[in-house]
Amino acid sequence: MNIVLAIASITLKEGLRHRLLYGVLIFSLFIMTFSLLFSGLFMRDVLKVILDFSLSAVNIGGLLIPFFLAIKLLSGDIEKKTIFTILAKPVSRTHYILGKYIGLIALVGIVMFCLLGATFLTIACSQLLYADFFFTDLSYNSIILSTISSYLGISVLTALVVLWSSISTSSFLVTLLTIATYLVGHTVDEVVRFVSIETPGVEISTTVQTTIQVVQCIFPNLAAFDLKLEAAHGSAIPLSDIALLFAYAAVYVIATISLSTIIFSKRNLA
Amino acid sequence: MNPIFIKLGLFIGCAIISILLNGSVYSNYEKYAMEKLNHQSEMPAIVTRSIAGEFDGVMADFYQFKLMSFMGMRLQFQTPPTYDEWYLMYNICLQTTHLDPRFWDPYQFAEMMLAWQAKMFKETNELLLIAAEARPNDFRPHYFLGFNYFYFLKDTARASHHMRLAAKQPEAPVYLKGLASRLSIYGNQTRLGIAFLKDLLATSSDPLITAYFQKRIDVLEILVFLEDKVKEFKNIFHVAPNNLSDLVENNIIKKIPTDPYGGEFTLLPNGRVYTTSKLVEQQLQMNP
Repeated sequence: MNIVLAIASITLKEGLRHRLLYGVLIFSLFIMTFSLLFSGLFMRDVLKVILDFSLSAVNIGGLLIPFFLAIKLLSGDIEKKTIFTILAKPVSRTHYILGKYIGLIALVGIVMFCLLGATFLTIACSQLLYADFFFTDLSYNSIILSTISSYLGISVLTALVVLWSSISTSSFLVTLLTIATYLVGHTVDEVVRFVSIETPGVEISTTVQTTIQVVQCIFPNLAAFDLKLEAAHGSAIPLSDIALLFAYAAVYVIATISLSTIIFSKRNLA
Repeated sequence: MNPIFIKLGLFIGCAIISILLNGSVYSNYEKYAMEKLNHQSEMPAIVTRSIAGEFDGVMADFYQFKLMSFMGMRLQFQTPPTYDEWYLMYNICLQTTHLDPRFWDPYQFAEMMLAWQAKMFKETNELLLIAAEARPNDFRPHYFLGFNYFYFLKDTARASHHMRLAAKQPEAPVYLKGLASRLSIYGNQTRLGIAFLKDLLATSSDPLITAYFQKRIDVLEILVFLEDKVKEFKNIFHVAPNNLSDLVENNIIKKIPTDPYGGEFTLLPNGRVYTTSKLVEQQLQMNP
């Protein structure tokens, strides 16, 4: 376990040193400031607009890690052959994968936590600018729970980045696979619902239905982790929903990381 | 010459030119921006939702912003939207509500603009029914529906039904509780119109729209004022005035107020006062 934590700590430090991270933070803070001014142009749902933008910025901040930094840190080790230095020490490939994953999700957590703090700051500033009745729906609980839910979704996506990196040697291919996973994960829910509607006169072929069922089983339903609108409208998010999402994410991550370790153990790194 | 000075000179020169060009670029784009209510709303809802992905809230905000900036520009330049444009605006509202059915601004926009300005009552009510479903604890969708049925469509039965549903909501104002049963006694719809518009404006932050509707409230208040003075005339002289000038000649009022919309106030045989502007900005009436 110590070895895993050591690798995780190295990954985290390496990530924190990366300039990309500062870019993410500056970009997200810019979006939040923009939301503060932009929301004033709306008639009634000022808080909703601020939270739409701020929570999206928190999410984008978190998402940029699996999309860019994770791929760079994982595939980079293999491409630059630095992985041999690590594996030369008493570190198994399983330890390496686990450590990298834990380090990456810790990095996502830190970024999202900082941006969540910035969201609260944005809300505080907007309360100085706008009248109180625009903030009657404000629920800090929902904001926190929605961010936790987004974090769980990004953790699942990060696990898939680890899987793609363990399969492919090319960081470009890993990036493409990650984008595809993200898009499929966010649209699969909509497609499944669309197909399940029985429209008279419209028949969906069994091949299409089977394909959708297979995709539904393989890819995670990332849309289910998106509770930003609930938070933006100040709706209560039941803890049982978060518990269910946590269980779903945990099971999916364990399965994906297990598969990654199996594939990575068999892989020829030379 | 030191290359750093050349670079600095280039930077300062280009920065100044770009600032000077700014005004021309903005005014040049204005003529395109006026026509920029594009056909994005004709995209199927499922496609829009899929494109938006997890950023559907942000996309809904941008749709609404586009709508408001377009209408704002029309109000500012007093250019009437065409029938097609009103219909596109309705479709954008619909698209926005598909992306985020709980977002209140498109419904408020529909009530303020589509109902009051474009007289698109059926379409506005359709949107408000979506709001009623998406915001089950909000009294406003049913309140607006009730008002539209009563004030515009003269359907007291449906108006009472919606007012009753609105009054049942926990945050409904106290006056709504009795309004449903008392709608039929509101022979003078103008007073209800004033109260409704004041309610609408109390929770709106857009200065352009607030100013626009304040003008409408002012005219409605003039109508109520003049009708009250007609009653006063009848009480004093036991006969109805022939026209509004009679009120001035008999010192009931000092002068006939001016209609800010450019119309003229006229006394109807039933004692009601009417304005030839029809309470609508003359230049902004819907083009057929």
